[in-house]
Amino acid sequence: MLPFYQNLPFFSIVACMLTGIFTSLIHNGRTAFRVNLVLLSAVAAAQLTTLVCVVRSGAAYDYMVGIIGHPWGNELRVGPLEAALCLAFAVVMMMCVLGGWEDLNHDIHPEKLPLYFVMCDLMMASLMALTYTNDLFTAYVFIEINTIAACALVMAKDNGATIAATMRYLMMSLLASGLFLFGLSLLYWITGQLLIPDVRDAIQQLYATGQYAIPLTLILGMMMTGLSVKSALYPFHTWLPDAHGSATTSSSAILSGLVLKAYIVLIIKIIYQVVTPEIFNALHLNNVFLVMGVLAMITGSLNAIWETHVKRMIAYSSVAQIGYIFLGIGLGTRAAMIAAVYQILVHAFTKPLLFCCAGELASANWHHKHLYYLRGAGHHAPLAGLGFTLGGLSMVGVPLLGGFAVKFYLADAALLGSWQLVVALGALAASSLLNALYYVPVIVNIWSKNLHGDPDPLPGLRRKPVHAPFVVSTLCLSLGAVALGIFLQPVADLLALGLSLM
Amino acid sequence: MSLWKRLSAWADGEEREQWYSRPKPRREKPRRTGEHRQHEGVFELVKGLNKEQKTRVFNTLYYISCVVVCVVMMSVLTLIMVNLPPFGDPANPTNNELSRYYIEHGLEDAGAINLVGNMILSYRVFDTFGESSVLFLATTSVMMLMLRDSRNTGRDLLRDFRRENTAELEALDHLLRSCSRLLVPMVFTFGVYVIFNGHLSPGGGFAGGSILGGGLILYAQEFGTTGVSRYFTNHLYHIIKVTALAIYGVLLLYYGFMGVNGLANHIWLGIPGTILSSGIIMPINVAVGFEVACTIYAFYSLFHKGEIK
Repeated sequence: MLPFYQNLPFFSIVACMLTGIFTSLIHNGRTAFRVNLVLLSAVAAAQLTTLVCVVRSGAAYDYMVGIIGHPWGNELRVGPLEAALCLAFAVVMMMCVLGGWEDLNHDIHPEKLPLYFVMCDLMMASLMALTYTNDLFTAYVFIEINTIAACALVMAKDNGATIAATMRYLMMSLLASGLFLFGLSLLYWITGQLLIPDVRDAIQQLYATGQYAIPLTLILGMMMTGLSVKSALYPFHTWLPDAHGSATTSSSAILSGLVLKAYIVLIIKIIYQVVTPEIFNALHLNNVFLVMGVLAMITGSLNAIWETHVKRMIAYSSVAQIGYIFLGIGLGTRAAMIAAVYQILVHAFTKPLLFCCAGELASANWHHKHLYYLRGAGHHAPLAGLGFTLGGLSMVGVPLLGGFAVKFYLADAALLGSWQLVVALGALAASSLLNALYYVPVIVNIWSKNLHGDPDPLPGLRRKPVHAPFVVSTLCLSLGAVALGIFLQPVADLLALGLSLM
Repeated sequence: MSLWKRLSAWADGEEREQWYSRPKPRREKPRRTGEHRQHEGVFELVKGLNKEQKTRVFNTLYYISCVVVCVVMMSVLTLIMVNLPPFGDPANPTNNELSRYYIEHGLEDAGAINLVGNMILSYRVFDTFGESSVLFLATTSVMMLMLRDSRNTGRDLLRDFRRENTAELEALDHLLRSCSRLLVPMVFTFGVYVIFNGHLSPGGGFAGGSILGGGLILYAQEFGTTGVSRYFTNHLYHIIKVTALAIYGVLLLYYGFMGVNGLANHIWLGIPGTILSSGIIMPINVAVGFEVACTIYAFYSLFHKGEIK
């Protein structure tokens, strides 16, 4: 008999799926919303318990679902890093739903609102399963669930722009799923295993003997390409601005804060547990990630500068921020990987904060999303304005906020490299400057009203009354962004412990 | 608006009108969708050409890049293929202790004669629950998009639907009707047979469920959707779908929890070869079968009428 806490990850995943299935019977959007909140708080509590127990026990454990015996069935692997990420995912998911609740009522037909929460529940299940899985095929199954749920979240608003964006997202996503599945089947053909530790042993043997060297490299390339398309790495980011820019507020927040991250976590799992960093670096795949990450950091920000639709601007900023994560992965050292995981956490808190606040600011200004009409919006919705300011400053990299911590750790890790030093530091400098170039004008814009006596773009607006869900969400997400910027060392220690136990 | 202008405007404290100019009023036609905006970047290179020429340049570039991507992908795949282990070689990596274990111990561990059934519904029962949820999720997202509501269905469209329904009932195809009257019972019986013998012979929930779903579609063709809605309503559909998946989920929870904790799970494996055997595999097959049948009929019905009836 195992200690009871070890069952919690499996229970959480199945509970999310079952709740999603039962939610499809609910006809009232508000009830479905409450059920979703209860579920997410229970999941967050379970993850917190798991995290505390795993850190105390000081060891990761394998959880074999069903029949006992190591290589015969499905497995989950739970360590501090996985538990911490899932805890963050559950909390952020709850905050995304809370922060966008008002816009959900505005954007989605009331009859279809319960179905939206079905998608949220199953999305949470897939996020956890992708993080905890110890089996590559389970990962693929939950990639499918994630893809469908993500497309439905974009589609839920149901107007022309979201349908077009969903089509593009669906095509790119399915192409990526296909690449991953094809790579996975070929990997099975040369290794004969699906469980991650066994695949690792087989790959190490193949690498040592030099057998199937060409297929191995190409297969890893295919799987990584598939996952990079899903996580919107630079040349494959074209679906992202449409999908994140046109969807309803909660969907944008969930997609940018969580969905992209789940695939990156899977990439990190594959690098650390399947391929091992030594072989990954020896195949020079990390250099590809480094170059693409740097390009993403620059081009994402450049695109954001020219964007005048506030949500599309934030979406392009996601492209740049994903670049930071891949820069960390590409540097190839343990310290850089800690920085990359740190960025996953920081971005998971900051980007939903920005999206929720932008949604609130827009709804305070008659749902105009063009930056011209958002002038003075901070006065109509002060809390949203403050949240947006905090999030924007964190993205720029102001100390005491999460974004600074990431830049600090990335720069620190880059100092050990040779040519990577110049590239990484140069990219960090340029990207910080570019981030400031589009976030600071927008922040000034939302707070400035009639300073020069210029005409008010939307006369006759009053201050928008605040709603409790939005207040809770903004406060929690801001608290997360600030806490990640202040408690650098404890978080980094936890992540280092998690990576060493992975 | 150039970058430098924006910077200098910021530094000089000029009017913010210059940073973000008032958006142009939206024209009715052509609408500026995301796609148009994207292509403008390419069109910057070919300034001075008219719209037709630009489109032609874009199309040429598009086809060239398509060919390049396809050729690259083909060569990568060919390169992988020629270096893979040969097909059917007993020394292949896939012929390892894993498949040997499934063949030798599958029957005593899980109790089904159909070894594939053992693998997907007992050893990898968690994966298969994911796969069944994919079906559930797919119908739910189609419902989100296609289900009739006041936003996507106007009064005119409803009238058209009603007219179609009456026309359908008046002009029934006699050939189709007499053939399907003969076929539908057989299809249903065969579907149920495949589901309930999933642990004894090739088949199972996924295969049998699609046969049942096909039978339902044939029945709907025969008697019109009003004929089906006499006994298969939206309400019943939801109840079947949720009950099937809930049974599967609860069995998975029980089986997974008992198995991993090393407890006896009290699920009677039965005598291999009889219909009531193989522990959780038979009930899960039935649940999956009903789920798949519901999914297939729901797709047909939603795309056809925008509702499940």
